[in-house]
Amino acid sequence: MSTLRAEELQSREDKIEGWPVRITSYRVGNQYRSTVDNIDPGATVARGAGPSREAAELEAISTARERLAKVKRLEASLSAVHESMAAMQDLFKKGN
Amino acid sequence: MPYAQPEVLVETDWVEQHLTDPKVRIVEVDAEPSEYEEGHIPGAVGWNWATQLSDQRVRDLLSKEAFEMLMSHSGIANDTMVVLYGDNNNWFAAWAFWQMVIWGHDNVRLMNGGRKKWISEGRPLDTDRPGYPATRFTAAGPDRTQRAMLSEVMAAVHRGGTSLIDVRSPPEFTGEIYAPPGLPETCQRAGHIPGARNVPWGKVCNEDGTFRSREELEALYNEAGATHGKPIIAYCRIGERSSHTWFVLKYLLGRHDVKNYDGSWTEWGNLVGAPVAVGSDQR
Repeated sequence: MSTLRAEELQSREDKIEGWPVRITSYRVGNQYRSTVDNIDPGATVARGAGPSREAAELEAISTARERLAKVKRLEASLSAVHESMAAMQDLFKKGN
Repeated sequence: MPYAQPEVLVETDWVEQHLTDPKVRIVEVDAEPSEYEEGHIPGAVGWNWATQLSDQRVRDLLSKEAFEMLMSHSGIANDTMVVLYGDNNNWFAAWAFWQMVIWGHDNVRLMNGGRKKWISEGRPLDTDRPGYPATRFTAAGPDRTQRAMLSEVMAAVHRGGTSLIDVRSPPEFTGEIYAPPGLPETCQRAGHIPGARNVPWGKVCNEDGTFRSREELEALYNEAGATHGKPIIAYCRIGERSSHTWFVLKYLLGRHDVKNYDGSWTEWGNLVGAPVAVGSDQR
């Protein structure tokens, strides 16, 4: 059995693409692991691993940035749909 | 005030003292299954929620036969105590717990704080995948009182009197976003089931991932109308976060009529003609 432990655990709060996140990293053996958690709802958004803390965090943050940016785009699309619907309703009212 | 059924929780200390207990089987279930491979509690079996805890053809839970096979191949007998834990403060560990109760295995515990607490405490991790002699586990049930199907939720909306608890994040509930970042299962419409109250699952946890006190949990759910004596249905997006809430309401707070609607928003939000509400809940 190759027993390891998580060591050098660090955690900090930050913002990525406007979303509040918590970035956690630690070392297990000779590998560093990092997670980016969405503070609300508290779930992991992205993970990374690498030979150094910086490398692990860079991977996790890059993936998180990509994913969170996509969420913003969906939000923008939904807003556009709502605006179009409101405009159509206005036109309908004027037509009547 | 103690939890209604405190015996369903075990602490990380207890788990470390029972790593080699032959009557205990530790099982890790993660939202991200690769977490297990990177290091798990020594001796823990790893289950993949997507491939091992879901039917692979129909969108459904495991069949009785498939559940029996999973348990047997994991070296779990009918008298084995199963201790579940996982990432995201036990999202899918709670999902596995819920399925165990449906299939009649009540000798199951959740490790308070999950994988996060175990790691933050610097407890031992292992990368070896253990093998255990197969057993002949036999399931009972299904216990249908733990699960809400679409027709029941639809009836509850029209009839009233049932507390619908939406455990997703506020932006999902209000309809600002379709799904949390990085999670692929989505839907055609954003918003929530009319009449539902929003109690995000994460509100039940402390910073270290453990559950908040009974007093705090009672206040949280009473304020949302999920009071004693009232039927409660919890839902989220695919049913895993709401199984976490189901666990809290049923075992920590002792609510008697609690169901998890695992069809959740990915079912409701894709239904033609289903009523959808947007914006925050009416409190």
